[in-house]
Amino acid sequence: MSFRKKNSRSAYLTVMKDPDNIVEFENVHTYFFTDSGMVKAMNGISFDIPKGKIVGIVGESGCGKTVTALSLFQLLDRSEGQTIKGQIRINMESHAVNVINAPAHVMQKLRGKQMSMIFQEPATSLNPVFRIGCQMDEVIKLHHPKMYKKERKNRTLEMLELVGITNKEEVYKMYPHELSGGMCQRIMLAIALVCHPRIIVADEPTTALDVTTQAQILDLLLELKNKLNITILLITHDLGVIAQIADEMIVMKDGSVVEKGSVKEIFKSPQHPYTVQLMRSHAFAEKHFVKIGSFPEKKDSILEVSHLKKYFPQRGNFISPGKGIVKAVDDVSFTLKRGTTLGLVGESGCGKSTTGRTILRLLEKTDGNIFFNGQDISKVSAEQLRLLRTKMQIIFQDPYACLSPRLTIDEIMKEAVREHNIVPKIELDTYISAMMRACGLQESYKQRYPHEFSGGQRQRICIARALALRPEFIVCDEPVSALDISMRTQIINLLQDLQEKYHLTYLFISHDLSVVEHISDTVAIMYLGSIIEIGATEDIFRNPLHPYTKALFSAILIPDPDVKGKRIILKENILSSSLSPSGCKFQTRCIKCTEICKMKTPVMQEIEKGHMVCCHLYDGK
Amino acid sequence: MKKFLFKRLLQSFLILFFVGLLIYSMMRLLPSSYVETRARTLSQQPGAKSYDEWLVQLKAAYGLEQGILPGYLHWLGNALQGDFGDSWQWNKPVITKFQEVIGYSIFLAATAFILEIFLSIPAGILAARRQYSKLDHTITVVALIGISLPSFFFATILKYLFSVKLGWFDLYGIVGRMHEQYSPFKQFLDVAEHMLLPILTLTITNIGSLIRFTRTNMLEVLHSDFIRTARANGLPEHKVIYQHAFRNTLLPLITVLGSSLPELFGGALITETLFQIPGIGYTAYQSMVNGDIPFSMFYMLFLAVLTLLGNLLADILYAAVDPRVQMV
Repeated sequence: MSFRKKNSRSAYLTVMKDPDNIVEFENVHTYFFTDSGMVKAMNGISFDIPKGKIVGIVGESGCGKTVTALSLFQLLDRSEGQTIKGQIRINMESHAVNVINAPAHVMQKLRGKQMSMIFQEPATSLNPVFRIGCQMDEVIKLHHPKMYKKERKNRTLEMLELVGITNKEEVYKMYPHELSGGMCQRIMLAIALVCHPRIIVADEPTTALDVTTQAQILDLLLELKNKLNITILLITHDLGVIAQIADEMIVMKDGSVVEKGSVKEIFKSPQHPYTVQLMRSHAFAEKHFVKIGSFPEKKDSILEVSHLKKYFPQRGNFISPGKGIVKAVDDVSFTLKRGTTLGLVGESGCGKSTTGRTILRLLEKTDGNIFFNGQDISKVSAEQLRLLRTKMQIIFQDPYACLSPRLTIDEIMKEAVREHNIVPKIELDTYISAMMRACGLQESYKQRYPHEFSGGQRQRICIARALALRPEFIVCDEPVSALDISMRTQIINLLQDLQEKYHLTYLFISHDLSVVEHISDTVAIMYLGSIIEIGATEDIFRNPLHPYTKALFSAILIPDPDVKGKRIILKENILSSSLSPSGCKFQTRCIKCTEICKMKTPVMQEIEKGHMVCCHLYDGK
Repeated sequence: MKKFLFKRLLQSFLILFFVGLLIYSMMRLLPSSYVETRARTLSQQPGAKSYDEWLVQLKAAYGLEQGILPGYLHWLGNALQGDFGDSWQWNKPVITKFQEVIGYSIFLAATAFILEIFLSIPAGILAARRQYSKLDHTITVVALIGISLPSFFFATILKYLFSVKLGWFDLYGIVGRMHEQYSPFKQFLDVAEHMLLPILTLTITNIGSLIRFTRTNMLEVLHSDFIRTARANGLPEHKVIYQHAFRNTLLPLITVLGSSLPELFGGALITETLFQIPGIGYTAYQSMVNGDIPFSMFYMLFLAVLTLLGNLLADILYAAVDPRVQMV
């Protein structure tokens, strides 16, 4: 874009259409030039961001949401993406700047000072080798070069406090890896706020976080907006997030705005068919109280887990040597009936994935028993285990990482089937084709490589691969967390269809209660390595007992701006499993914590038929 | 940390024991041994004893009449007491000879090493910043040439061009003919002049992989999220590159630098031999050709120790520089 420099010096100065707007997008076209041709990532986008409002952009991945944010910051890789046409104006009170024409030095002064950004992955968005304080200090120093060091530190600490970090002095000296994802996102927000910007762009700020942390961060954003009268551009794929905190919304599809307006109106009467479709698939995933079919009585149990424990030795570092163990799974027991699904829910780090993997003996247990079809899995030999593997399969969260990029789908599918002699050689091809069709994949996909598929299709491939071994039991480890909302619904439906057809049993691991509700017959809630509540799905959803379960439910975002549920905000971030205090594990975050909770570890008790809870609140009831 | 060091040290001794055994066995099993050559030479003198008699006598004198394992253990016993024996080839204690020659090697390697770092790291960063530009392609091609050029070939070209055709430098050796007459300062310059071509050879042939390594790492770092954050915070490009990206690029480089410790002190065998620089590499080469077991053993074990030390150093440095790494 060399012609830019030749323009007269103030060509980037302009005037706002409406002085009450902070940012105006007018007919913006941003194109990507790839080897396979031009992609119109933003194809004539126009919208305004009024002062002091939260404007949400919603759309599925690839619709151009993030490109919109990056265009505002002019942070697109020049060799690939360029804003070709249009104006993006930012209001600077005395004048306005059109960022598309602005030279690099002007943009550098805008970024971080007038507008700042927080990203989806807070943990990787901070430089791992610098301390938090240093990274914040740097930004202030950059934009306020005359400020004294002492003053800068005070400002930094003030910002840390503002974003709800209580132990600010400690955090100031910490490295990013020492903090949880939610804490890192708070830090990112603090950095974004440190120069009092006019606008904050939040690109999927809560997508990578747990539901309870998501609730915290969203509340924080709302609080900051009210307190500081700050303008926020919120980019998300989650209609629930928009409904809960945004004032205005923009629906994007394939690089164009399909609908814009106030959140209340659009949710009340969506005009564009795409918006309607988006809301429907969302509602389907979020709320689906109608249970399909009732499960027949008298089922034999396929899996019995009793007092399962999995401890990891905690390794010390350079300075301080090892300190004890991490109880990732601490005394977990449950029974799974054939043909049913158990949903295992909990925040990240609570040990739900470890539980799944230990059951499959992908990890060796520390203690306890696992009976699969009446056989103690922990006692079988390596060879027997290899044969058992066909009966027990697993599907992971990231389907791309699970598929070898160098093999075609055909090879991927055939490998294990051949190894275990599931079908005679001559029938192999037809068998694979049948399995692929059963999972909604076309036969013609066989010669393609994994990268040629979308996320949803890849997950179908993973399911088909697992299914081809004719398993009885599948551990689904967050199978839809990485997928778009409409894809989620499809994959969940596929899993249900397959369950019915092949009489499968699932252990469905997820942090997302709404997904679990849809597919599970029973639900178990995990907290710090233990199951704290278990029962039939209807019972749990109708009448959650444990304070933690209640908090989880309150953190679900309802995609309806009129229903702003009272969120129970949990106080502290999750404690590392190694530090579990005496008494109830949840005591430090529980709003109903009493003396006995600190003294005595609660035991499981049945409150109604099949509905068990592990909490002192229900003692003697 | 103490436990870690202790474990590593124990491992190292075990490794060294077997490396030593391996080298000793290889030296003993070589088809032409030092004593055979000596016996042949001595037996050809007028009026001398027969070859077989000499052989028996020499074998006894050099302690080669015992088997490989007892021979090794005998050597090891002495070595542990700090006695590495006398070099057969040079007729002086191994340690003395080593002290005489190591200086040249360190000077040669250290200069080349510093040059490599100062050339390759900026070049690698530059190439990464302008990925797929003409500059990037040029640097990549230079790096590729550096990687694929064998040092003996490149050294020969240099010698042909600068010594034979242009006559700027001497073909061989470390000092000129007039060296003794010079003042100390001019003596130093004389040595430096003779070192120039070997240093150039070493630098060019080693620089390629380091450039590629820096470029790949830098590219990876430049695509990470925190670089985007730095830019979004309004940091000027030079700060983004040299503060945020460079610190992270440095981490894997440390491993490479740690593993180049043996290269640094172990001498450049081929280059030294071609230019006949009397460094450790050249000396070790001659010792090995002549089957000088004590010196070769010392040299090889010296390299092994350096390698182990380099890896340990890299591990410790890595933990010191990267806050995420924990010592296991």
